[in-house]
Amino acid sequence: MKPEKKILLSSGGMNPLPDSPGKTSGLSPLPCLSRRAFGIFTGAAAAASLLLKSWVKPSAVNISLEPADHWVGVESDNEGNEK
Amino acid sequence: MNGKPAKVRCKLCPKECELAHGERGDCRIRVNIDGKLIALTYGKPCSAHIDPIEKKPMFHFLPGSTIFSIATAGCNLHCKFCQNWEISQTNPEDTQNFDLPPKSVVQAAKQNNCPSVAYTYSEPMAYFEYARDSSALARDAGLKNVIVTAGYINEAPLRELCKFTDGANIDLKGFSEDFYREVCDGDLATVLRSHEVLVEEGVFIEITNLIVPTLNDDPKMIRGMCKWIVKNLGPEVPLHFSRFFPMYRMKHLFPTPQNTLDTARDIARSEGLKYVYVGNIPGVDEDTRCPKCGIVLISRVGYNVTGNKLEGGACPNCGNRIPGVWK
Repeated sequence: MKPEKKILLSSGGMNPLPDSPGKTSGLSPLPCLSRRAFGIFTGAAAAASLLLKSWVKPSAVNISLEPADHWVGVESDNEGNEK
Repeated sequence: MNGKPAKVRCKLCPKECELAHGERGDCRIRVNIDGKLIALTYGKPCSAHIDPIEKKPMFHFLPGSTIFSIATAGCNLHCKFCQNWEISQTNPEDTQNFDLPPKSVVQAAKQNNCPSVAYTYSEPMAYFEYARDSSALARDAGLKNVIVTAGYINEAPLRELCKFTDGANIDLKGFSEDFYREVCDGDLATVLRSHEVLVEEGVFIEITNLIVPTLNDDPKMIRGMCKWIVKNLGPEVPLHFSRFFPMYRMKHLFPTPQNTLDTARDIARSEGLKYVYVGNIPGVDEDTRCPKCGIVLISRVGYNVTGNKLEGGACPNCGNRIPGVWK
């Protein structure tokens, strides 16, 4: 039996703002981080991101066609007015 | 009927978009195809990261742990200050997406030793089915689920999602209908109701209020918001005041001055809120203190927990129980 392929993901935190998915460019909005520190910070994060991309494959089909829930059909007459 | 595919009305959020064949909702990710509503981003996140849970921010939920965090493109609000607009205000065809169905979300979280999964960054209410199904599997696998949301959703689907949700950081972006309508393209009443529903359903919540200079920094507005929280949710709900940085369509504004955040914090405390934090300024009001005896219980620097004295969810000095999810 083949071992399960490990999914390795980036450590996030490229963008230090709360609840941001991370970016690889841009200036630090945090005054406490020196430019050098921020450069190391984003550089490490970018490397982690490359690692991510090598393990979690980009989707060949970028969207899904799964049925959604929580909707209703709308009947209309020939004029397009909702009944 | 004239033979054309039927129109549909989405019932997920209060916008209730009515869509003809081929049209997509205001969230960008729900589309009518041949008379059926389709979720375009199910299992197709554009972001997947391992974050410190403090980044959500969740300060009373497994402090010091990592949380597997995912998001898809799209959002049903259009906040002009959105910090994640590059994914929230983009069609899913235009983001680089991954194949990560719900079972793989759980697998990835476990393999990376994350005890919880966050549905975050953009808006989990918009990718509702993906978040719900992933949450159900995650719970079965012994993981906890956290949503980071604006709370702009109809009550029925929210209650459905709550069945699998352990924690939530929910935005209260401002405290006026004008603000929500003009700046966010939503409405305050729905968002307030969502706060109440989460609490009714037993989800542990923390609230974030991003203070945007000139738009929602009126002390009277902040006081009104704090009074509402205390009266309707209780004084023990953690509240995070977050510093704004110029983003998206609000690049002309300046970052929130520290004294504005200090004022907001003081107002919140004077209204009785026991756990008030200031975010986006490392080193300022990040620690959790016991509201009874005053000692520091959890100390933080940025997103790092540098000390945790809690014993069984209580203060080791006076025994006061601190609200949260601690194990």
